Amino acid sequence: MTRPFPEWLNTSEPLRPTSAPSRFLTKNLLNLAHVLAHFNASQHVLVTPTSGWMELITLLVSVTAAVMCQNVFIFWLLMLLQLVTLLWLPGRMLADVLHGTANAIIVSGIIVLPGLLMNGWLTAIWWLARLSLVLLSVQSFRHRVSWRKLLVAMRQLHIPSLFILTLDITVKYSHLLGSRLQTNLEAVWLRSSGSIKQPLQLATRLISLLYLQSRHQAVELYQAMWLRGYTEKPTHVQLQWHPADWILVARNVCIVGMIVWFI
Amino acid sequence: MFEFDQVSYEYADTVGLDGISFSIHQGEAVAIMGPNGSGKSTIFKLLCGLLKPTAGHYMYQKQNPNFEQLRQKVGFVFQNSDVQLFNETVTDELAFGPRQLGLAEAEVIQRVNDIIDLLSLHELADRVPYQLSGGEQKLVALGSVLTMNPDTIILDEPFNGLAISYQDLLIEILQQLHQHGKTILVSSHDFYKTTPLVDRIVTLNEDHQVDFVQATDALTPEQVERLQRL
Repeated sequence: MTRPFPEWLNTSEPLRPTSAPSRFLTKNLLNLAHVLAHFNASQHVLVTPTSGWMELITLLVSVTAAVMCQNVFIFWLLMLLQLVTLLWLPGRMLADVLHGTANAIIVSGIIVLPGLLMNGWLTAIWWLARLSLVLLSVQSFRHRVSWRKLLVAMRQLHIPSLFILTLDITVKYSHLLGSRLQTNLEAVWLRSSGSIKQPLQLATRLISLLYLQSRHQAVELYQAMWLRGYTEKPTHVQLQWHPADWILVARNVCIVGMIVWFI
Repeated sequence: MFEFDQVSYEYADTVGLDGISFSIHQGEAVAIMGPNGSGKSTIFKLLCGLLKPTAGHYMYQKQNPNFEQLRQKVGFVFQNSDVQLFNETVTDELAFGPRQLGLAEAEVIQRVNDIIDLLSLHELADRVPYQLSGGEQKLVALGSVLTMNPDTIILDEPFNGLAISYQDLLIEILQQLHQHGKTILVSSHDFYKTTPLVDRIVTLNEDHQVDFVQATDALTPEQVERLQRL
């Protein structure tokens, strides 16, 4: 059967003048590419002989101590302890930790500094110092404990499995949704010439589409999990103790002791 | 029409293409075949201007491609058509491209109606693209590209997940487009579906290089066997 072939489709389309590339598309495609590249970049994690759950407790102790600390001497000791921990990291990883911490401090500082400055310089400096210690602890933790090890650690510490699952899926599917949005934007870019007409309407459509796609995907994922025996009942993993964990225990006892002593 | 000269493309952590050279002539139908991850989709993204080579030269009409204009001349139907459709109705979807090109509304409507006739989309015209089946979405995606009247139509794995009836319909439409002088490029694993549709086959290997380029009527038994195993 021959289909009615339109006459205009037989001719070669004349090239039409293109306006400046759409800022909406180029900017968003560029931003998404950066975010996705960040997700894709394989983060190097130090293989440590310690348990993930003990590393997690150590992080909580360090952060709590940094937040509660009111004494400059104690703060200096805590910072020294943290810096000594960093010495075990390889050079490249150490640079990553310091770079990540510096970025996080700048962003946090910009957000809250005006409020702090109103309470005086001393408060601002003291607050920034404590924030630096917290962020340094978190960055160090990120480079010592892999995502997989962290999930196991949370199970070992009896954190609700629904919370762990939600966290795990959120991280994985943020990347997936980012990739989808990137493809959506590429599809729009390919069928547009220069500037986009009605970019706000287009943005609304893309967000709605992304919502529908993610909802559909979430339902399918849950169904697949249910079919494979997921029941929302907590699944615990036995605590495992490694000899190297004694070092972390000693460190935590020292920190808690110092804080209690000076309070 | 398209000439690749030692073109390479590297993603952040993997190689996409490694020094490939081949050409595609105007009005030709060519299949790009190869194992998963060999670089078929990367070639298509280079051809329509979504990516730029990291090494080597790529020419369009014997000139360095103007990527802004290239997208008027090359239509790309994605492997997953659902991510390509973002309008409220099929009619709006078909009209999106011509409207962005700045065509008069009467011409836009004419083109949309012609494509609805060509692809037999009458019953889908007022439906939401997101709610269509995979085969229907593939047809609408092809239609949305055709309304822009590109010289070259690229289809990435067009037969994947399609019912046999939609596969046959798609082949019939692509053959008709080819007969009317359109350049057709498809990637596929299905040797039997693809061969009657194309004039030549470009095969990539696992090292992201061109394995062989051969006219379909001159394929050796050994090449046929290798293509069947893809």
